[in-house]
Amino acid sequence: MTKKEVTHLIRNRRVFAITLFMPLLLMTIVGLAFTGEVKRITTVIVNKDGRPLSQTFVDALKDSDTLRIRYYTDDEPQAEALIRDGLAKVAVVIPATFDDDVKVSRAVVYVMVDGSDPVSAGAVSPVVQGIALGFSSKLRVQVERLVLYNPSLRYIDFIAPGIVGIFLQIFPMILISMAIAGERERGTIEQLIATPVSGFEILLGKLIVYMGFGFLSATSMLIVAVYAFSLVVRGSVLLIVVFLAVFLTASLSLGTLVSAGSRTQMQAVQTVMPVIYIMIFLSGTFYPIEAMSPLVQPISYVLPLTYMIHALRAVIVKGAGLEVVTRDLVFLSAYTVVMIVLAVVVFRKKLE
Amino acid sequence: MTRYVVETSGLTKLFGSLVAVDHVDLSVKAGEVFGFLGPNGAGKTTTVRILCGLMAPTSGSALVVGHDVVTEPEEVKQRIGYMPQSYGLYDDLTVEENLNFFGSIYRVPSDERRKRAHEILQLVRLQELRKQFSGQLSGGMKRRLSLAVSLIHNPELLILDEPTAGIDPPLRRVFWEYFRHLNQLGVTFFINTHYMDEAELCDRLALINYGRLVAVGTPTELKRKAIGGERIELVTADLSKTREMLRDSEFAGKITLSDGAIQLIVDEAASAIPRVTSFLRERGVELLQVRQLQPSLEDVFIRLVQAGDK
Repeated sequence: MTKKEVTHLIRNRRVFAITLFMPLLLMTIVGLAFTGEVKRITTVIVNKDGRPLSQTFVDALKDSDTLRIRYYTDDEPQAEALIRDGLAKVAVVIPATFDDDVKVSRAVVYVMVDGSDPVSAGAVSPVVQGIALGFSSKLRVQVERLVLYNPSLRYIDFIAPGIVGIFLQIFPMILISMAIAGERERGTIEQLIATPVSGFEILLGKLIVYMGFGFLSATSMLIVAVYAFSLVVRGSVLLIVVFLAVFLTASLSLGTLVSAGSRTQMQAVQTVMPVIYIMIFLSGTFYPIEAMSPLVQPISYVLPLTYMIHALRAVIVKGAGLEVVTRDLVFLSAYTVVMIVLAVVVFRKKLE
Repeated sequence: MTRYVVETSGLTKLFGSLVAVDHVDLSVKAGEVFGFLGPNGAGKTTTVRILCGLMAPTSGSALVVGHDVVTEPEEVKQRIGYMPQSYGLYDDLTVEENLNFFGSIYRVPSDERRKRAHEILQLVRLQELRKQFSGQLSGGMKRRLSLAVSLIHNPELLILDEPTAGIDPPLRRVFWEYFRHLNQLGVTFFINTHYMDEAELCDRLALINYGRLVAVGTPTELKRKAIGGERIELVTADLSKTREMLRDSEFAGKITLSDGAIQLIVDEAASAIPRVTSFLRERGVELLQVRQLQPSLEDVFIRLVQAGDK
């Protein structure tokens, strides 16, 4: 009996591959993604003092793994703009009187953090505090934290846009691939293509329905987040809708491609599973990408979900406009165009 | 002038190195019931899929209802009905909804659709079940619904892929009554089958084996061609003596003895039976049994295939 089951398992190559490689894949990804310590947070230094002592302090900050100093300025509003535009997550502000204050042991350094990423934001001030303490035993530097956007550093504001993105990536993809594979499995596709209706029309019919479904689920998720968990949508709703439409088209096209390689609904779901795990863990939904191992970061940056979540966070939590999320929109649109063309071509070919 | 609704020339389909359909030339006249007979795997379904515009041939051409299946598949599809071998309707739609849906994608106007659906359901006796989910129907009912769907847009040609495979003989008879009824209304039929008794009911037949056309003709023509006539079987008390007697008759040379009976090959069984009966009676031999033998699929088929190979 056991022998027969093992034979079934091995013969069904797709399942066999999944049972064999999924656990390895999953654990490896999680290990590389969730490094435990937040590192390489893009930082802007606002040094209003500029005297040698403040320079020494900046050098101390530079030695830290946690911070990755990308910008220097002496203008606070400029630093704020960098954070708003998502180019930096943290600003360390050294006041003009730093040199004098240090000497009388009452220097204050401000840390401005981007509250839309509470994981990074929370990790920064203790680190800066530690550096300040080690800076000089005689000189006391006090660190004060200013949180932009999500003042109470609530995790929901960070996670809600991510969940919307994940949901829209996964469910429409599964549903459409099951719907198409289902037509094939039940033999209805043959009756359907015997009619004058074209392959494109068949696909379009499904795309429209599942697109509607996607919008409905995104709306209901955001409503729950807003009314039950007081998420504040700061940006333009229209911009959010544009992103949803582009992203949904991409997910549905990917689902269509998956279904092309699957004869049954079961196979379609099995094929989708590994892709889903990679997307969930590497897209930066739960954990900032900068903090992940450099081994998996390139993967993160080719996942459309990464860009979708980045854009949703920027628009919803930070109230960012189109100029901030242009890069995301360009990437997603290009990806979507490629996907839909592939999907239509493959779907038509598969019908023959 | 005869109008042809199906005309193929050199129709060929390869799947990798497998030749599924091999240079098939067919012509089906408007108004006839054309049977496409062959064993499983002979290339019947592939041929039919090409004719329906579901699959492009590797080479050769096919004109169906006057249109090329490769360059004008939409025209072809709009004017033919297709009933696939496997049931392919939506289980979670009712009988009526299935008909309505397919009617709509064939662009049948909605009032005509309603009228047509009513008539067809009447014909296939499903009108009582029109609110039932198709998934709840029995196998035979599903087949009837499948036929109904293929008729919704009033096609001039019906292409049926083994429409009666796996259903019980009474229902098969009922199906053939539908076919005949529709045929009288002017619908041409192209029917795949591997049942000899069904093939018998066709106006003309084409035999296919390993993708190659073996013979085309009316059932009677094919039988004659295969057997060289019709067969009768007789049983007497002393078979070998009877055989000796028959050697002196007009039936000489076409006598075989097997399985406790004598078989004769004659031009026409209906007239030969009284002649052989009186011939033997004159010689004092009593016939215990005499009947015409219907050649089986295997018989006609194997003979024609062998003849073709020679």
